[in-house]
Amino acid sequence: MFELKQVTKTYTGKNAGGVRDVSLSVRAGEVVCVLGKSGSGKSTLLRVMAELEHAQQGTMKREGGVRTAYVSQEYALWPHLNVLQNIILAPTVTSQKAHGDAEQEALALLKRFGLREYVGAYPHQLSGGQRQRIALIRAIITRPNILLLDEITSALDPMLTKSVLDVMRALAKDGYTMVIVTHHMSFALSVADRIVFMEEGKIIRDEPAVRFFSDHSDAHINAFVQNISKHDAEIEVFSGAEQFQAYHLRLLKRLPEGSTIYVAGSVGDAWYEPMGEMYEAYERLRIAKKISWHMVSYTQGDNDRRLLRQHPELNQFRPMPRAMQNPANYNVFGDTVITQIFTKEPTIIEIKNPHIATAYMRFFEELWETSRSRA
Amino acid sequence: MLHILLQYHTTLLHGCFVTLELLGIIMCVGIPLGVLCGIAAGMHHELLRVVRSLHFVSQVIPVLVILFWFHYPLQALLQVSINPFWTSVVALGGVNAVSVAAIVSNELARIPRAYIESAHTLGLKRLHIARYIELPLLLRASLPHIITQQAAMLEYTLLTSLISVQELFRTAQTLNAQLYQPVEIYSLLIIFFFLILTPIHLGSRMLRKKYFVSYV
Repeated sequence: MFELKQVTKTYTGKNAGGVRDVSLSVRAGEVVCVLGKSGSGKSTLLRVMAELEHAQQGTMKREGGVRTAYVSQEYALWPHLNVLQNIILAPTVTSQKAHGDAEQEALALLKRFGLREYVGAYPHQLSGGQRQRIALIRAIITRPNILLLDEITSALDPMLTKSVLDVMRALAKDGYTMVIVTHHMSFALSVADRIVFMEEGKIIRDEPAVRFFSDHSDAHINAFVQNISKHDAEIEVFSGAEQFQAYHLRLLKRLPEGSTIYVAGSVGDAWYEPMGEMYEAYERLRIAKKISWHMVSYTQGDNDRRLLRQHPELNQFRPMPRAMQNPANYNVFGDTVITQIFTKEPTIIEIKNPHIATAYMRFFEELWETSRSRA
Repeated sequence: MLHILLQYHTTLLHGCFVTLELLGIIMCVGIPLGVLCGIAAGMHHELLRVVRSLHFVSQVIPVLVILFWFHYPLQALLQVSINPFWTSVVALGGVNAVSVAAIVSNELARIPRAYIESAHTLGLKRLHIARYIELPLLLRASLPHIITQQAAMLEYTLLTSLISVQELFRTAQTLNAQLYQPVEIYSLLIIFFFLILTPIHLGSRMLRKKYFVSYV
C-alpha cells in the first residue's frame, strides 16, 4: 500500500536528527508502532510519509490513490471553528462530501467516541484528551487509507491518555491502517501487528510485535523496553533473583484455587534456577491450590519430568512446534501477561491489560493446538 | 462653551472636516498598503526583515520629527514645495502602513505551523488554507490592533498643525488667539476627541474580547 525505499531526510545544525537510508512498507489493515528514543527519527519518518517533509534521497511509493492523514501531539484544532466545523471543513471544502452528509457522519462519530455534547464547543473549551479525540475524528472523516499518529498522547495526563488510546484501539479494531509513534508499551503490545524500532535515524528492527517483545537477545533494546515500561502504568518490571522469586510466590497467592497458568516457550530448567531455594515453597503452594500449568516447551528438564510423574493432573506439557520456535517465554493468567528474561539478573516484565492478555492467549491456543497435532 | 460652538460652528466644522479628511486618507493609504505588505512579509523572510526594520525606525524616531523631516529637509533636497496637507498624508500614511504591516506580519507569524500542516494533511489546498484558516485567524487577531493604531493616527493628526495644516487643533489655536477663551475652546476639543476616540477604543476592546483566539 505504501512503501519508503532508502529514504534520507536530515537536518543541519545542533541536535540534527532525521532519518537515514530508511526503508519501510505498510500493508493495508496493518498497525505499525514505531518505537525509539527521542531524536531517533520517528517523527521525521512520519512527517516524510505525510509529505510534510521532503526526502533528500530515496523514493516513496503509494498504491494508486492512497491518502494519508497525519495527527500530531499538538492537536492543531483550528481555534476559530467549533468542533463540528473543525471536523467537516476538510471533506466539504475538498468536495469529498456534501455538507449534510459530512455533518451526519461527524455527529455519528462524535456520538461513537462520547463527544456528541461538545458539537458546538470551541477548542479552548475542551480538555486535551477531548481535543485529541476530535483531531482523530477530523482525520478519519476524510477516509484516509493510512493514519499517521505521532505521539498523540504525549502531552496528556494518564486519565486523558486512556481515553485517546481507547479510540485508537477502536480504530485498529475497525481495520484502519495506522503507523503510530508511541511510548506506551502496553498499548503497542495490544494493537501493533509490527514494531519498528529506530535508533539514530535508522530502522534497527522491523518485526512482528510478539517477536519484538519476546526476543531478549539485544540487550540495548531490552534496556529501552524496560526503561519506558517503567513509565507505563500498566507495566511493571521486576529485576533480580529476589524480586523474581517474590513475584512468582505473590502470583500464586493471589490466583484463585484451580486457576491455570499458560506458559509458552519454557526451556527446561531455565525457570527453576532463578527460583532457587524458594521453588519448594512455590511447588507446595501450587499443589495445595491446585493451580495447573499448561506449557508449550522447547525442552523438558528434570523438574518438568518429575512433575509429570508426580502430579499429572496439574501439569500438561507439549513440545514447541519447530515452525514456531523463537527465543521467547511468556506466561498468561487472567488479564496479565509476563515475559521473562533468564539472564544473570533474571527479570520479569508484567503487563496488566486484558486486551494484551487476550491476544497472547490466542497465540498460546494456536501453539497448543499445533503441538497437539504433533504430539 | 455652547455660544462658541454656535457662533463659530462653520470654522470648527471646517477644522473637523480637515482632520477627518486627513485621517480618512491616511487610513485608505495605510491600511491596504500595510495589509498587503504585511501578508507579503509573512511569506518572505527578507521582506519581513525590511518591514520590521522600518517599524523599528518609526518607533524610535518621534512621529513629529518624521513629519518635520518630510516637510523641511526632504523637500529642500528634492527642491520641491508640497502642500503641508499632502506632506502629512505621505508621512503619516507611511507610518500607518509600516505599523499595520508590522501588526499583520507578526500575527501571521504567530499562527502555529501545526494549523497549516494539519490542514495540508487533510487534503486542503493552499488557497483553501489561506481562505479558511489563515485569513480568518489573521483578521480576528489583527483587527483590534489595527483599529487601535488608527486611533493613534488620529492623535498624530494634531501634530500636523505644526506644519500649518488647518486641522481642528490649529483651528482651535487660531480661534483662541482671537477670542482668548482657552477653557471653553480646549474643552470643546476634549469633548470632540473623547466622542471620536471612545467608540474606537471600546470597539477595539470589544473585538479583542469577542474574537480572542487562543492558539491551543
